[in-house]
Amino acid sequence: MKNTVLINCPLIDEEDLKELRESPCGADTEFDSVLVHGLFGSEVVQVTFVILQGIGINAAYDLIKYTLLHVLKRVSERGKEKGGTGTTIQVEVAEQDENGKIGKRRSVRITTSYEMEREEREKAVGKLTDDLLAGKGK
Amino acid sequence: MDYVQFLRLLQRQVDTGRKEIDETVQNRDIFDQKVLEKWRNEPDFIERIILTHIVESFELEIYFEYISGVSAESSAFAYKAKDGDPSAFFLDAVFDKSMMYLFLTVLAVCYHPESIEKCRSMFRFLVRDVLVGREKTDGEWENIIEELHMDDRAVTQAFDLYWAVWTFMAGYEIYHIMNRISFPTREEEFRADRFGFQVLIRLIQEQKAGKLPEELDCFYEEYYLAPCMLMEIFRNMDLYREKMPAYGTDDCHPSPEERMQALIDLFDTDVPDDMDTENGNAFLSAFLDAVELINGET
Repeated sequence: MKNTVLINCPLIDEEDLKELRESPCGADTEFDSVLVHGLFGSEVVQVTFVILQGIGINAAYDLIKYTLLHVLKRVSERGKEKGGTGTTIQVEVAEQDENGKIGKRRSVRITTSYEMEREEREKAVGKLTDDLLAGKGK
Repeated sequence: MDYVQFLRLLQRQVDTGRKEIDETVQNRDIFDQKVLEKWRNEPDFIERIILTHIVESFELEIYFEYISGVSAESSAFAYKAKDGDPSAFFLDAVFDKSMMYLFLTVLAVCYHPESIEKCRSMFRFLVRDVLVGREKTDGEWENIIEELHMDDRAVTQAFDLYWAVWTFMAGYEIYHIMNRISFPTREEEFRADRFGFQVLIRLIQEQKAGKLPEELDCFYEEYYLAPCMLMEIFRNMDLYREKMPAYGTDDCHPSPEERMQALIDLFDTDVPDDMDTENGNAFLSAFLDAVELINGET
């Protein structure tokens, strides 16, 4: 079994997934894109992490932070080209045991401007990842 | 793990609020006891009968699963899988449950205007705290119907309205499963609404002709404008909603007001001539008036 990362955002393409798979934290992780379409407006980018229990906090931290920074960077570049100004990313983390059963789940949201500098993005994603791994979120 | 697998896992953890509804209806002799018994043993059986019937009636060649669970959004969504994998119509259980209670609350105002204060507080709680704020998604919902002293007629109507809205949502999402494109447009949204409306109209017509399974005895002509009532709920959600920027371009969904108007504009083209629309029109007016009263917009 592997960790799974599911990304719901039409701005993320197969090239991005390939890059994530080949990244230092992508070895034991499946990355896939999902496209969902909601009943009414204000859709958000969703990134769902299904983390195997026992993976260890540091590995989970690296995976979440690296993936979110990549998504945020791409969404900012491509969203700006399409005339957008920012986005909200819903991040969901769920733990999965060896039987496939989902245990704890929590989610947090981050709203960012496409004009955010790289350092600001890193700071925001770092805080969000810290919060998630500290058990914060709904 | 594919996405549908993940959605299935969410399903197991859901508090669907069925217990409260069951407790509410068990003492009222307003539902077919055989259907109720079956519903207790197989919670999604009505939804599955409706979906199977839609697929057969419209001769659709699609493969999707219906999944109800708790998601990040207060909504329903369509997931179109890559070739070969199952797609999904996912309905957020909190949204689903809230719809039922919102209809009960609004109809309580229609039938019992003296309960306006209690209804106002319940309506705001459901829209602002539960649907928009995603807070208090469990508990605190019990006994609402008894507290509002609703009579059997209002409760029955709220349940029938719920199924009409549910069917519209199913049609809308099925459209998106069949026609999924990366960036849906406003026109696609109107087309999805239209298909949802056509599905509802078809089921109403089929019930009238005795062509629906007997468990689905809820598709009456007076609910033909139920999708407009859903749009009114969306309009109210928007009033409480923090404006969230969409990715890339502006969100493709037209506003709830535009969607409601577009649905009403389908009257000449999509509503059969032999459909009795008088009660349905009056029902929508009464619903909108009640929401206006709740919001103190008069």
